[in-house]
Amino acid sequence: MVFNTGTALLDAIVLAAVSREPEGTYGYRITQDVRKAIDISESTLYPVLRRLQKEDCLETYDMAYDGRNRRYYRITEKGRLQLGLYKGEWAVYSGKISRIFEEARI
Amino acid sequence: MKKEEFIQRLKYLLADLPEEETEDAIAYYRDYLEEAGEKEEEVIRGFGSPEKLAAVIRADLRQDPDEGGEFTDSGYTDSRFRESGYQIQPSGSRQEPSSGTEKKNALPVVFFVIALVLLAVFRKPVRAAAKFLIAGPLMITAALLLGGAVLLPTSVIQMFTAFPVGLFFLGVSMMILGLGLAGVLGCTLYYGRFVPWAVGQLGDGLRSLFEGGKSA
Repeated sequence: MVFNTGTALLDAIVLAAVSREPEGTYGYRITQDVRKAIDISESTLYPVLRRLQKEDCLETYDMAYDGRNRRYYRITEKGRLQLGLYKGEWAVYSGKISRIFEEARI
Repeated sequence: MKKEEFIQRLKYLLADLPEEETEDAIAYYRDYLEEAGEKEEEVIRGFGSPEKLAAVIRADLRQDPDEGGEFTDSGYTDSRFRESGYQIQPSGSRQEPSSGTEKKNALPVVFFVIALVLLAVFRKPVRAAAKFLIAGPLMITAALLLGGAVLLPTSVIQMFTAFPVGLFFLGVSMMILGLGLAGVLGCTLYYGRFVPWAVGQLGDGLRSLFEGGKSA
């Protein structure tokens, strides 16, 4: 792909991926889910998740799984608000871009 | 590199961060590698070296996210690491920074030029304002303390000749001294906090201006 994904868009994609799991989801799975949409490396998401957690958009909890602790990420109220904002912005932005492309003559 | 070796190395590299940050990062990556299971080696290769991973974790802690790199679809590019080869994903073509950064940098330059013009036109008033900003609070406080200190004994002496007048001025001198003491407090805040902060802001502004100019 030739287009860049900025920090805000990556935040939005991560929030969206986490929000699909009401019980929360974990780092490895979030990475795999996000990778279905954009090509990111294995190491990209930790700083993003950590930042979203510090901004109270995500919360974490540990739960035993397979004899060890697994860290789950869950979206917060604030995160949902933020995600709604991103979704609205994206609809407007992508709509405008799509329109201009549709009207383009090739 | 095996999982434990990788984790230990990462722990060592992050040792000087706040404990909470180190623990959080280590827990995350340990978890991640457990999750990867059979793909463990592949994932570790994907991370690059522990050094690169540590650099990414650090950079994001220190930096305002806006100043950081950009997640392009060919990976994560960050101008801060570009020269030293800290590409997290070394594949694909590298992208030039978007024109967005240039636009962002144009604004401070415009302000800078306007400020220079204003400075040239209003040189005297600007100099006076600068003097006031530097010495003003100190002078005012000193004047209040000095005035109060002179008026206080004078008013006490005055009380022997004309008691009501002396009493009145005693009150006035107390008020002036009180304002002076408040001024001392204000001065410590002003010179201790505000001035260093303002100078820092100014320095940051100038630095971003020049760095911006370089990259634009």
